Amino acid sequence: MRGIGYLIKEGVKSVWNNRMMSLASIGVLVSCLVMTGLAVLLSLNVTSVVQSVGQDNQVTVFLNDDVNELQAVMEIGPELRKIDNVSACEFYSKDEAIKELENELGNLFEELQGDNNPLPHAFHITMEDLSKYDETVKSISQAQGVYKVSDRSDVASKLTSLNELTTQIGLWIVIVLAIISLFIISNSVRMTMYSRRFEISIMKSVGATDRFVRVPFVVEGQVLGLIAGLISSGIIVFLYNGMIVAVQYIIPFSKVEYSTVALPMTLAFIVLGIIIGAIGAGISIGRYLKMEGGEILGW
Amino acid sequence: MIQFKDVSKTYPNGTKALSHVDINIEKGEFVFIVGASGAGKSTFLKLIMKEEQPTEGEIFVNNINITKMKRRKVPYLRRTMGIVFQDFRLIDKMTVFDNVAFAMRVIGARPKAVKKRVLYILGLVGLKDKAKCRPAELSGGEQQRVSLARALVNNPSIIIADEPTGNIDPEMSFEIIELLNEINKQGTTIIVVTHEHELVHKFKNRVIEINGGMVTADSGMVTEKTNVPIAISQEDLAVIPEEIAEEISDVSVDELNEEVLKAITEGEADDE
Repeated sequence: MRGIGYLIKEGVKSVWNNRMMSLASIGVLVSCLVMTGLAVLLSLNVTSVVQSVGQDNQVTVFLNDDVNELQAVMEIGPELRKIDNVSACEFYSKDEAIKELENELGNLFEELQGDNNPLPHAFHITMEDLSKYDETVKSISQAQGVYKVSDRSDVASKLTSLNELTTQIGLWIVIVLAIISLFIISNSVRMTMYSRRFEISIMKSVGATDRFVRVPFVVEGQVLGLIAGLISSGIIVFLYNGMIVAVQYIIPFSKVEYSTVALPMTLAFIVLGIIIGAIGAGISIGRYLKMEGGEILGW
Repeated sequence: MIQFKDVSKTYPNGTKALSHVDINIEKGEFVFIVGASGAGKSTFLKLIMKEEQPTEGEIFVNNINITKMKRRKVPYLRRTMGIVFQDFRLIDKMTVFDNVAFAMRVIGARPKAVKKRVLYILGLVGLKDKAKCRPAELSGGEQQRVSLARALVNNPSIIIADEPTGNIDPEMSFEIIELLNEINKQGTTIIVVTHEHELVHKFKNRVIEINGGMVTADSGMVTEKTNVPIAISQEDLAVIPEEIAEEISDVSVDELNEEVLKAITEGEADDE
């Protein structure tokens, strides 16, 4: 397609010529892309937590309040070790538990030391075969002095539904933001088209094909999308790292490192930006392509 | 070249713009379309350019039935035409050169060909020295000449001018029609829509009158033009340098015109 270079140049120039509108479009598009990115990252993190919990073959066995340390170690411990599929059984005293809480959360638990400690003694039990998970948990629950088995399958199932929920919400966010972005880009390009309606009418009168009329506007949309994609890729790194540190301070969990998703994320932003830009511009120009002569000029 | 066969056009709002029109314009003709405002002149042009579709009848351009032409082929039909508008429709932010070049660029012409052809056409309309000016810096007549240059630059076989003299003074109007006559002499078919009867009477060209959507008069094809404005006038000869004037002193004006047109045609051929 000869002459395409000229049209591409015109499209790029147009971004600068309508810089205020371009800036507004890029701003909105960046917001949309960043929010989309955060929704995807949230979903990735929840998935990662769910997977790590699901793969963990350790359960915590809480003992009744009236069980003392000696009884726990001398009587209940050996009983638990005898249960089929139990490969390790490690005692975890209530003093250790409160100390650990204190280390994590500060002096809040200072007054709950010694006799005031409300926590029960516990055992950390590791299983040999995860496929026997449910029956092993059942046998442990039936053992003498056992108050509750905090197996993480509850958490896992909750996290799984949370994962599904975040994925669904994420998907809707992506769809809604994509529609908003399309609207914004198509409006921006429509303004450019309005200011260049003379050119469009001349292009059509001298026999420019629809494709040729479309090119500068689609290029303009793509350039806006590309710039927004690049800016979003930079912003999300800082935003994600800042947010993850804040969340980890409250709930420690194994986060998804941004470096592991940086490349696909950046590429996705750029590709998404360019696609949204092109479609948005295509929607606007479509209307003009159907018009003829004076109609284009609003006569 | 252009044939209307029993063409009628009624707009969706019920306005009957043309009614059973039969017109035949041959290749190389210069035709004035005259008529009062709202007579159907603009609809006539829109139908030729396929901006509108007739309600009845058939239209042929270069022996092609454009009534049945697919939308995607319309740009190629328009490449055979050059359009001149009453309001010039020049792009303010572009120079004269770029305004003319724009018409070539958007149909995919090579940059080298654009430069050569645009400068040649600007020379033809007498605006080579204004190539770097913006439209706002030119007079109405000059702006219309730029518009004419843009219409000519893609070497169309038909020039359609919609009230080309509507926004310029009478002297300039005469110049523009003169220029169109010169272009016509090279074989380009010219269709000029105007309501300026006085201007039309100054030239011996075919006149078709449209009123109330019907052809009310047609002077018929003009085979011999006795009052065609000349390419080089006596005034022009007066300013020619002496040595050249001596050389051509015994050459008649008609012979000179032929030489000029020959040079123009050859220049164009070289350009291609």
